[in-house]
Amino acid sequence: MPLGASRFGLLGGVADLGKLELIETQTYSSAVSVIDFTSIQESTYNVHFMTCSQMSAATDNIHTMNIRLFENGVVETSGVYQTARQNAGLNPSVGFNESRSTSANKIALQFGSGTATGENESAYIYFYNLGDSSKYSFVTHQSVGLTNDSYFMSAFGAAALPQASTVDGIRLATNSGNYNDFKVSLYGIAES
Amino acid sequence: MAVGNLEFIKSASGTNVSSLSVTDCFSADYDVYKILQTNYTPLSASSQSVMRLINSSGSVISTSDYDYGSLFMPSYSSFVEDRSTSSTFIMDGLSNDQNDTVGGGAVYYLFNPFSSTSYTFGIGQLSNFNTGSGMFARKDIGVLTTTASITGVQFISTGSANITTNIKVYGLASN
Repeated sequence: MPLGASRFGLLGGVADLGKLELIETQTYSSAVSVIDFTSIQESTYNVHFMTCSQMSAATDNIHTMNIRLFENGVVETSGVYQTARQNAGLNPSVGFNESRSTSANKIALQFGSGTATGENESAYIYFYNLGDSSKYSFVTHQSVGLTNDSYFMSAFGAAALPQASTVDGIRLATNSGNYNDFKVSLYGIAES
Repeated sequence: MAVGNLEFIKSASGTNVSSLSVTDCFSADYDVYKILQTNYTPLSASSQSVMRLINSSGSVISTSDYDYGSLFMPSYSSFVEDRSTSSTFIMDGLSNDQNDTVGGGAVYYLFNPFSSTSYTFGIGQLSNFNTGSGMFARKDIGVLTTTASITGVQFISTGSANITTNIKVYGLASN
């Protein structure tokens, strides 16, 4: 869904790179089980945008895109997230169905991927109000990939951390074991 | 015109209003626009906002000229399909009870709004919260089934309550 192409230009000698401002990119370099973004400039941006690509794990049928949020430097692992997701997969055991929870301990974007060629996952994610201590934090997402049986799968949904708090970090994690590839970029959307 | 990938065009904030319009934000400069809606709060009763389009004469299109579909995805109950081929709005916006800690977040894309030879298409996705029930999401699609040239967008409260909300409009560069 995200559209547009990067381009550069000069206005009076100053490059204007547009309002999608890259904060940080993390790419796989060694086996890790979590990908933490801890300098997200939450006081600058009310809306963040994240892209995930080439997400794969060391073993089959591992969820590679589970989100947790940091509040004041501490990752929230309690069952306080509320989630809703529409799954759309060609895997006969999954098909088109709903996933939802009012007491989740993470925000799961999609079901398991695999280790064979092409069996990885990608997604884009919006985050809202992370730096606003008077508001809940919200997430919307859409993802696509191949399962460990090479079935096409997709999902879209949303989530909330219904706590009026400052979120100052974002964690992506597998549900088990380590990643063996990933590329994740976090952007802020400037408001003027 | 800025030459980055995502150009900020215009924003509007409304406090205690029945509707909020962003006018003169679509032009021949872009074919695709991104709209962000945040910080939605009804002030006297629960309320939902919906999106309508504003034509080049400055009039809000409130007639039944939209087709629309929305998947309502609550975290607390089964999902529900909403659809119409004679809708008076193009997409659902944020909705809320009177809890100002909620706010919510929504992103919409409009395609070809300024064109006078094409319909205006829209897609959207939002995350919101009902204090009495919990988090809910919406995945929206919509189209204005006339070739009117569109230059702006309005978010209107469908209930009796006035609202507070913020809208930001961006153009997406294609070269």
